[in-house]
Amino acid sequence: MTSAQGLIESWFAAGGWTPFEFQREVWAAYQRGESGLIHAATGTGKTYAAWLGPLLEWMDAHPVGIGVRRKRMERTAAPPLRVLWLTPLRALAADTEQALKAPVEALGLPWTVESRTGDTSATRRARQRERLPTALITTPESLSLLLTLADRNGLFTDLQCVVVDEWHELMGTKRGVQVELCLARLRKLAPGLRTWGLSATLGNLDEACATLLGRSPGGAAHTGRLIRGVVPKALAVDALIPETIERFPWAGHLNTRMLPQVIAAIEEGGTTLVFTNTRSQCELWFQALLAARPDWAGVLALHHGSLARKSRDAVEAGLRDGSLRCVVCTSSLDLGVDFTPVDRVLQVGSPKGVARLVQRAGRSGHQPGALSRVTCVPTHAFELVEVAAARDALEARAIEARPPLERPLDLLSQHVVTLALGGGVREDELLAEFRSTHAYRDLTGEELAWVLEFVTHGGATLRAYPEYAKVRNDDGLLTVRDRMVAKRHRLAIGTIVSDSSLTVRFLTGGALGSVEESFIARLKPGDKFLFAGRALEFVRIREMTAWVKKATTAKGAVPRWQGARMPLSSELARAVRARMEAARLGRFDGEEMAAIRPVLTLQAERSRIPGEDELLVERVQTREGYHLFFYPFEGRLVHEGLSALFAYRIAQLTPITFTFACNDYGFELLSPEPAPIEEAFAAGLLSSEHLLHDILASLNAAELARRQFREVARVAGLIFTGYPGSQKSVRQVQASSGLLYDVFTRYDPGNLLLRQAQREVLERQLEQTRMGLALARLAAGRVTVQPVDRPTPLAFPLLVDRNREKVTTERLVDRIRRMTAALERP
Amino acid sequence: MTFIINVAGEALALLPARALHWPARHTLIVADVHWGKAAAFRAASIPIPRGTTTADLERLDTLLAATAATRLLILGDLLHAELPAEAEATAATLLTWRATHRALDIVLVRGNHDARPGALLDDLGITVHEPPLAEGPFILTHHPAPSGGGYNLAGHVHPSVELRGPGRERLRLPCFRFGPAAGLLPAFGGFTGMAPAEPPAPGERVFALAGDTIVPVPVPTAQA
Repeated sequence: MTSAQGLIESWFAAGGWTPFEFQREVWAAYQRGESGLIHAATGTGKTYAAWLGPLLEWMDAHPVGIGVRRKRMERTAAPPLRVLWLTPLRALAADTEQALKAPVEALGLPWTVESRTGDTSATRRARQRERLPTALITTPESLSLLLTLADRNGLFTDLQCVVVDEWHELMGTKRGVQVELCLARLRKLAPGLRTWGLSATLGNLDEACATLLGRSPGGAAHTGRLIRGVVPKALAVDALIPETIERFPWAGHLNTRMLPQVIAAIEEGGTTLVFTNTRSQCELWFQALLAARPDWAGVLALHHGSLARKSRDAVEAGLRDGSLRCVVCTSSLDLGVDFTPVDRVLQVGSPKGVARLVQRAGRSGHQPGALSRVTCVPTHAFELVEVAAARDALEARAIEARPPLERPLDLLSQHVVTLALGGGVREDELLAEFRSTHAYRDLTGEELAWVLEFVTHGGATLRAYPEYAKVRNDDGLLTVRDRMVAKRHRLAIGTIVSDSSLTVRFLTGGALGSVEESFIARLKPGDKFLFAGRALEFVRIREMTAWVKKATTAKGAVPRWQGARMPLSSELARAVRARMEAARLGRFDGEEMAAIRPVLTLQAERSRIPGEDELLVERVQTREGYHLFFYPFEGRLVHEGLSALFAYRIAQLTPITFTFACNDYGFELLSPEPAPIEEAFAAGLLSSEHLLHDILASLNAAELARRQFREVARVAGLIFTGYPGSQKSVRQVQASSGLLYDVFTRYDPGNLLLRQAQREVLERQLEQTRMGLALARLAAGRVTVQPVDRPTPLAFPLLVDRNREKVTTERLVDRIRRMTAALERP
Repeated sequence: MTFIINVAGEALALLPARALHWPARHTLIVADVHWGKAAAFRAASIPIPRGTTTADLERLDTLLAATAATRLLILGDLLHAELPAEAEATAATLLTWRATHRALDIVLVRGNHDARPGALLDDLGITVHEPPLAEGPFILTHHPAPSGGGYNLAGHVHPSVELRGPGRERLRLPCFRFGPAAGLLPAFGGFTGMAPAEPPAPGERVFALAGDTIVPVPVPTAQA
């Protein structure tokens, strides 16, 4: 043991701890120059595993002067930037800064540790521009912004290590790809750079590690060390069982029928976290709990990503000092530095995935040897099946994988502008640099040429337009000269994740948080909505701010925004199918299955319970038209793809119009005329022949690609969401993504961004791979077309879903005639 | 397909290419043309493909030929923005088009986008009127301005209507709307959006535009 390690070990001892074996393993690997990925549940010492390696290395190299405490250190005496710590949420930066500072201060090291995020003050940012701290905690967006600084190259010469916190959260998103691109640049500026990722448990850890570490110029993946942290605690999953079961469960509304039992669970004692799947559910449960227990005002809080930073901080502090009894939250509390453990975790609604359930359960039971326990609160009866299935999947250790993204060109277009801004970049070094990332390892020369053409001329179709010049190309040197372009680009970097959002502010001045523009756009002045735990009345929008006042009554105030609806993971879907098969055979094991038995019995009476190798199709006619209900039990995303595909294939046989709705269990096709379903099965409805062609065609028919173009257009800089104070000049260059999509499709059909939107729908929205597997599974099984008199319990939630897509092969005029005829009928 | 309707005692022909023909005055009326919108985007480094303005001009050619109108009346927002100096190609396209329609009388009722149009309107030989412009029974404006002095015809709104059918089918289309005292024209420009759909009000006549057809939208009666 070196003397430095001795100091560290005694610092641990002073706190009453000993380092875990895996922490020592990481320190040693780091000092040997290795990179890697550390995976363990939240709050098990991953932070110090990654942080102390760089400290040890420096202490070994600088044995003199350590341990001498300094009252106030000269900034210039601190070593220049050595460690970059990336965190996905800027809200986590402050906690991380605290944690990293503790050993630095205790050991009296002359290091500076600071954060730089969107929340950092302008003066501090300016100071950092002169000289970065020894360790900098920042977000992927802020790192990209650092790379746009004209003098960036000198900032990173001493950089030794990049730590990417919560890598599982970033990987599989465009922000993760942004990290990959930034790392590729940093590895160039600081050869020998080591990369360490911190991740929760995933089904594809090797891939996660390879994605983070990138590849050598020769094309081989960099090898990294996969280090497993503390062995997971024992984990228990149970459910609150409703006393009565609705025979027609409906997922469409936010059901708080379980409120009394939830209150009883919270009363059992200790601190409780109530996880919900959406922000609107979070607001609603908070209101419901407060209405039932007004005495909990002050010890009951809510926490979600749209709330103002200040109120989130207050809630987190309240959790830490134990002054809160219960916090209703969303995935916003999934991440982050550990809170002093809570005693109880409730999950409202299905967790939809096994990894997520493990993550949330891990918030409880931190005492050594204690059990982590999560109690699910079903919001509709079928979720009982999902709880039972989640327990099965957990026992089988079927944890979901998170696939990384493949070469999104919109992001590459953005990154090229970033590099061109920071003092310029040579065109000929880009291909090798980009190919050193996992995401762009197969990038072709043509694709890069297209991206460069796109940022310099706006694409091949605009070559003749001199008014367009975002990036200049002077003999292979790419630069940005236009100050407006530079300003807009810097502002746009931060918009990868979010829809353009508006601040919610009281007329009297206080800011409450922010919500998506798309939500506010649906409100009329005078409408009431729940936000930040209050009933608010919408007044008006001005200057990117939604002005509100307190509503006099909470009556009629409904949280109306959806948030992302998580689809059932394929691991959980498989477990649900197994539970349905057991139910079909009359086995209802466990209290959840016993509770839902009456619903499934009714399903069997009216129709049947689909077997594991059976595709059940229910056919029913109502006042609304002719319904076909399909139940593949593959998760909502796959069903979205399958429904569009089936609608398209049936519509090839006869002119017909379908609208459709999907959920995690199945989908519905609804048409004004009966659909030739038997004929369609005979003609190869489940066939894998021409699959890609048919999927693409159905995609266009259902306008899915048109919708996905919104995100692509924003990242590539086609849509600029504006900044405060310059509204007017911006409005003249704003167009909806739908309009842009139409214009591109018509006048520049070869545009690669259109193709990317298509590819993103295929892979991310529809999970094409999973869809192909699902189709093969269905084709190998048997099909039952079951006429039913009335909709069944499985059909009911689909029947009432109002969010619908459409596919048609009828002439527009014929459709309009039918619609106007319907309007005229009394 | 053309619909001829009586508005304020005048026969007007509704054309599916988003224009109104007033045969008695040999006039073609359009609104919200937004010439040069794509060029304004390109000048702001947003790469919109070329061809939108050209396609609009071709549509205008077809309409002028079919109606034999001698006058083109624009209810505001002819130009999207002051054309940037670099957008010579767009300006040249417009001037060339004008040269092939020398005899055509072009009148613009000024809209909010025409506030600072530069010299281009002069070069194009366009007469600019400050709203309102009174002609026959009509008060012609850009912003809707029902005043009682006549029947108001206006643009600016980019109106749309939603049709619903059995099987929960829905379709949003641009439209003409004619109320008791005022009417709205659809936006003519191909690179323009639509306002959110407003359901027809009792007593209103609404015509949806779908490809090359015009569909009268049934309007609920006042009691319904």
